[in-house]
Amino acid sequence: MNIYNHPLRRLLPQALCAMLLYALVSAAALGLSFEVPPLVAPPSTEHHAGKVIWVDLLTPDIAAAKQFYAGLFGWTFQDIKTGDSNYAIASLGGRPVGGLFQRKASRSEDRRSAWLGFIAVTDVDGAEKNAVAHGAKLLKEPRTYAQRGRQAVLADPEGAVFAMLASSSGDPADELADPGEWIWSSVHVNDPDKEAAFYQTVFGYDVFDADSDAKSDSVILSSDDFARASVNALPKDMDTTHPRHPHWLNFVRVTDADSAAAKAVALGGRVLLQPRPDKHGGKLAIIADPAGAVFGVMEWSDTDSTQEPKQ
Amino acid sequence: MNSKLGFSQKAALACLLLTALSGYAVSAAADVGYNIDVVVPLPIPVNVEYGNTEPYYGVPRHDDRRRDDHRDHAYRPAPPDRRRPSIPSHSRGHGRPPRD
Repeated sequence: MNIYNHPLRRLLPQALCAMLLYALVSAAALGLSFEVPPLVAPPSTEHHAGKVIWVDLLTPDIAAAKQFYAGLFGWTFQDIKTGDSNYAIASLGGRPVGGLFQRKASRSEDRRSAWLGFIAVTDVDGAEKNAVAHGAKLLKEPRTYAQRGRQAVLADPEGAVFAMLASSSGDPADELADPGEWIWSSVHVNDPDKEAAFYQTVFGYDVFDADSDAKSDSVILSSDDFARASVNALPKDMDTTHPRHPHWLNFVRVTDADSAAAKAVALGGRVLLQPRPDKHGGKLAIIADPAGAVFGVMEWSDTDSTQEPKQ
Repeated sequence: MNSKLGFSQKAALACLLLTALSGYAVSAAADVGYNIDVVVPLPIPVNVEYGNTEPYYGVPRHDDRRRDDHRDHAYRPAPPDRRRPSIPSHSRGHGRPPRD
């Protein structure tokens, strides 16, 4: 059979053109269907290196997470379909407060659920290389998302997982968080001294002692003359049967920590640290959501940050 | 056999090449999905209390009474004459107040 004279030969170009059109439309549709919103709208020129500017929840059950956090903080959600993954933006009063990322289901405790904080940098690639050179492990290569910016995920020298982000829309302004928004972050490690040095090297923090009377190993990480996070020692009562892992912990501002803790339990969460006053001021509690993601709630009055500590 | 390709054959080959390229574009587009799926070890095992914590987890307040720390640290301490900072005290939309 002479294929050059086959009757279908004339149809071949048309068929291939149809395939081409289909492929181009599919590519465009996939590309357009995914847009992680900018952190700041309208964009600003503010940059606050070292500030925790975003948090994402990695969860195996995004529907349950929405129900829990909507009930606890009044967050609302906007779904964003991202290829084969589900992502939703959580908002409060129309302002984005974080993201919910549906991770693949796993029976492993390590993959249950966790909040991941993003620390602002201006150069992700440079900061990532610097971090790795000082003992960090790169978990997710730097990657650019058009509206959000460039980001990477790492584990610090003790294994506490954090992300860094160079926001393409600027960083959120330095303002007091409203109730229901993230207000504070801390990293809990075995050796606060060495870990503080690591974070200082990577993010350029000023480091202050947390206690004027030298009763604590905790230190405060600061940039732009604002406290950004604390570095704390892991609980001393750990035993080998209940090991604690170095980790970052992020706090949501609430008006009543007792009420928030009770509501969290009613919604299926657990209270890991009962509400109690913190020596720095404010009352805080530590909570795990139904899937195990740990976060804190903290009372903080508008005037607390202007007051001197009580002796 | 005539080795010269006619217009239809050339068009078909061009379409084949473009289809292959667009197929790559499709797979690349599919990879733009947001992905931060990393293993984050749980801070504590399930059903275990957080434990005895030291009382300095929260937001610090301003403090001028910083000690002159002569201990050796792995980090570079801020100069002792610098006031320990706190978090922003002004509410949204009111701008940053003048520094002290």
